[in-house]
Amino acid sequence: MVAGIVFREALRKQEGVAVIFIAAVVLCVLLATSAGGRPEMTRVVAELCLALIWAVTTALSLFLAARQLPDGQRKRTLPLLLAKPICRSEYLWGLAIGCALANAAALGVCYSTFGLGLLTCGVGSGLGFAQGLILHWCALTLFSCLAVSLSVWRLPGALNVGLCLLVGLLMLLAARPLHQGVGAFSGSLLETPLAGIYYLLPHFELLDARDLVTGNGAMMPLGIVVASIAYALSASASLLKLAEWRFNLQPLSSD
Amino acid sequence: MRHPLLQSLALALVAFAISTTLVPAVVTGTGNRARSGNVFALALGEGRKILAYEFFVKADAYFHSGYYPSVFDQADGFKSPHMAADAGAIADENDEHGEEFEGEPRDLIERIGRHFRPASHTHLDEGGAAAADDEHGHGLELGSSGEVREILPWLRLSAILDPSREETYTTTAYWLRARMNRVDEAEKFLREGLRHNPQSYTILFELGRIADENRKDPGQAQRIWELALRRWTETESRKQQPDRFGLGQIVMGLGALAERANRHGEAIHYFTILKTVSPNPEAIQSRIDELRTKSVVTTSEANGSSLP
Repeated sequence: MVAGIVFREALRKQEGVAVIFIAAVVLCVLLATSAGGRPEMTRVVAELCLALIWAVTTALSLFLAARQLPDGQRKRTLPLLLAKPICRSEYLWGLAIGCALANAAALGVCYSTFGLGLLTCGVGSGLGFAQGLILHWCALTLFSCLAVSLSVWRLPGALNVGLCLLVGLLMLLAARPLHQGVGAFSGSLLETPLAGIYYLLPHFELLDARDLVTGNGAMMPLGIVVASIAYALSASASLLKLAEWRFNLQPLSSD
Repeated sequence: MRHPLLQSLALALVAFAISTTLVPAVVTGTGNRARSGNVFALALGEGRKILAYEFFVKADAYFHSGYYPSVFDQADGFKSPHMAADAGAIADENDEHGEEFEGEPRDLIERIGRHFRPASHTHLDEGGAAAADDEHGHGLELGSSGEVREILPWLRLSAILDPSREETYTTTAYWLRARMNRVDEAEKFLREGLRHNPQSYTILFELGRIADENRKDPGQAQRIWELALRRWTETESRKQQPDRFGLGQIVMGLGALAERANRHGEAIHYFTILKTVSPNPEAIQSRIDELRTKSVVTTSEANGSSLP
């Protein structure tokens, strides 16, 4: 029930319009590139479009997840919902599942137009496309769960989204320097605590398979794809369980 | 195990175990963009090449002190960036008459308006817009290296965004060594470009120019240009439209070196290749004829001197 409410809210609010707008822009750009007769530009434009889809869907999923709990408390809908025969845990998991469904719908719209554009340009492969899509959904689910968990700690929405974006960008763009930085302490006393902290961070870079979608990278072995999905789901569930523990201890109202 | 905190810890352990297995393979393994360590490559992928080209063009706009055609102007005079063509990094395809793309002002208002923005075609290495303003009163002077330096940040940014773009390295190196006398920096930048583009004959050609013109080491220049010629043959000779301009530059350098060392036969060989790709084969033929005459004279002198 809670998941349905979140999903319907995402459709009703501006998120749905933004997703459709971005999908239309991506399709127009790819079709224009295909019609322009410059095949060397196709992959370049496709990668830009994919980066745009990643940026927009990440922002939308974070804003959707981060505002659910504060909005429920501010508009007093949370006590009403919890007066029904659902427990707090179910409510929290419902929020996460609703966000995951909204993410899936957004990706469905964006990737269908993107795939259509790629098809007309003759770029990429079906299997790589599917792998990239599934891992992208996993990344968005992890983002949503991180935002839902932080919102339980009563962080303001903007701060919550900012923190999630900071961690996400750090892991996506600075994965290699971070890994090398941890490796630089090997053999020292700091190696174990630093490696422990590093491996506990949410590793979004494991879920970034944009190369596969545009056909720039070799196919990932199935084992790595399955392990990446397992990682995303277990990390998301762990965050939600932590949030559930905290949420069960809190009073309902922030007053 | 029903407690959420314990369940969370158990799941975190699972995620931790998977990440310790996966992260080293994915982050440091092949086929992942994290391997490149380039933030732009990670964020934009191949899309960064569009931005790299825009920065390259931005450097050319700076080279013209802002006098640059927009998408709405006729740009026949700006088909290839002037700073790259002047550096010899690319073939000059510009129409000389199209450089004043704005034409004559149509009315008084447009004439007055042109006093408030860059409205004349100038190059920074020739003094830029300031020299053009002084042209009537004080005469045109060559620009200082400080003015040309303005284009360098854009070129460096372009190289960071797209390290596979060879023209960026050769153009930057030319302006560094020829206008600012920063030869070591130019060579270092070219070697960085060569690391990213090991098959590049244009970067090798520019390195050979440094060895010949700045280091005064013709032996080293010859070795580098011969390697450049081999690279050209490997990459371009089988193409339907090979880079004739690049080949012309390499064989012209090798021919000139051989001519200076009085190896006339070798010089004739390179100039014969140059004749096939040069836009002015008659001039090359007259140079070949001249070398043949010199060669005959040298041979007969050698034969004469060897007579008892």
